[in-house]
Parts: sequence; C-alpha cells; structure tokens
Amino acid sequence: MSTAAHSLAEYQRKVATSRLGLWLFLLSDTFVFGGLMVSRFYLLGGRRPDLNTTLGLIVTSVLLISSFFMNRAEVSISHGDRKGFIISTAITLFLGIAFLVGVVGVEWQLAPFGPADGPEGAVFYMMTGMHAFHVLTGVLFLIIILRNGLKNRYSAERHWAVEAAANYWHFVDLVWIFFYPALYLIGTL
Amino acid sequence: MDTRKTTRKGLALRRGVIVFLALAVLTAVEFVAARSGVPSAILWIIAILKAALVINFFMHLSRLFQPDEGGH
Repeated sequence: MSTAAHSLAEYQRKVATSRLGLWLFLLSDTFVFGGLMVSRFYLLGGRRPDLNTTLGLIVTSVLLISSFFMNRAEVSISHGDRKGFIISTAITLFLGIAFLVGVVGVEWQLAPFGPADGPEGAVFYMMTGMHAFHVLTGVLFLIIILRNGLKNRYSAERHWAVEAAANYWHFVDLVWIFFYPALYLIGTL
Repeated sequence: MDTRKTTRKGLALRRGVIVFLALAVLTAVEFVAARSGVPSAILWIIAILKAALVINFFMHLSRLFQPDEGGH
C-alpha cells in the first residue's frame, strides 16, 4: 500500500470513529429536546399556544429547504464539486439565518404572551429558544465550513467537517419536524 | 471513470430532490390535515415518516454500519 493510500485509509478509520461520536452526541441531545416535548404535553395537555400557524408553516418550509441545500452541499463536495459546495452552503447559511429571524425576530414579537405569562409562554419560549440556539450553533458551523471551503481545504476524499456540519444541520431540522406539530398544529386553542 | 462519477453525483442529487419533494408534500398534508381536525395520531405518523426520510437519506444513518466507507 502506498503512503497516500495508507494515509487515506487511516483518515477513513478516524472518520468512522468520529461519526460514531457525533451520533452519540446527537442521541444525547435528543433527550434534551425529548424532555421539552414531555414538558409541553404535561403543562398544556390538549391545548396549544395561540400562534400564527401560517408563519409556523413558512419557517418550517425555510428550514426544510435549507436541509435540501445542505444535502446538496455535501453531495457536491463528496464528488469534488467545490463550486457547487460553496453555493449550496451559502444558500443553507442564508436560509438558517432567515429561520432565526422568522422565529426570534418575528414569531417572538407576534406571540400574544411573554416567557413569564404562564405555561404557554414557558413552553413556547423554552422550546423555540433551545431550538434557535441549536440553529445558531449550526449557522456558526456553516460559516466555518464555508470559510474552509473557500480556502480549498476539502476534497472528495477528505471532508469530514462537512459531513459533521450536514448531520448536525439535519438533526436541527429533525427536531423541528416534531416541534412544529407540537407547537402549531396539535391541540385546541 | 469521470462519466461514472458524474452519473453517481447526478443520482445522489436526484435522490435529494425526491426526498425534499416527499418532505414538502408531507408537510403540506400535515398542515391541511391539522386544519381539518384529524386526530393528532395522524399528525404524529406524518412527523415520524418525515423523520425517517431525513435520518435515512439526509443523515445517512447506514454509514454508521459501514466503518471503512467514505463515499456517498
């Protein structure tokens, strides 16, 4: 085996270990969000917060589209398409920021209750706040891989950071897949 | 070799589009169903379906069980 082939094999072995670590981290994070879901149904039961469901659908769509572009970015770099990776990552980043603006900048202002106004406020701001914090972390992660991508630091064979950022981003989308119906759709006003 | 690589990339991108469309349709169905007052169990089933798509096709859970595979 040549030195380059040996080095690549070693890299792939490390990636396999890192991948397991990332999934264990995501699993542990699932318990945090699971706890928030349990709190929502314990405190509100069959009621739901009085929220703008159209706005909820819009922010959900934005996050869904961002996941599509994140996937596109990962596929691009894994096939050596640096330009496609940079464009798709930039779009994902933009949509992530748009989601944050939609939830924190608009939804929080429109909500007819504050964080201290009973269980509705506590549940809504805690769930969306914790999720938004994860989105913010994902945005920072995206900025890092975009910067490294612009410096040509990833290749088709070596792009673990991109895979990790993509999985983290999809995880954030995954959480919202359950938070969206729990906050906006299930229950009566 | 290059043609095969391009074809693989095209297939992966197309799969991403199909999964995205499925997620979009399920989200629309979820929204309309909730407005129609369907039981919440239906909404949870839709959410689980969406989650399964994301975990399987976007997060590539199967890669965990292929330790030496670095491709996509």
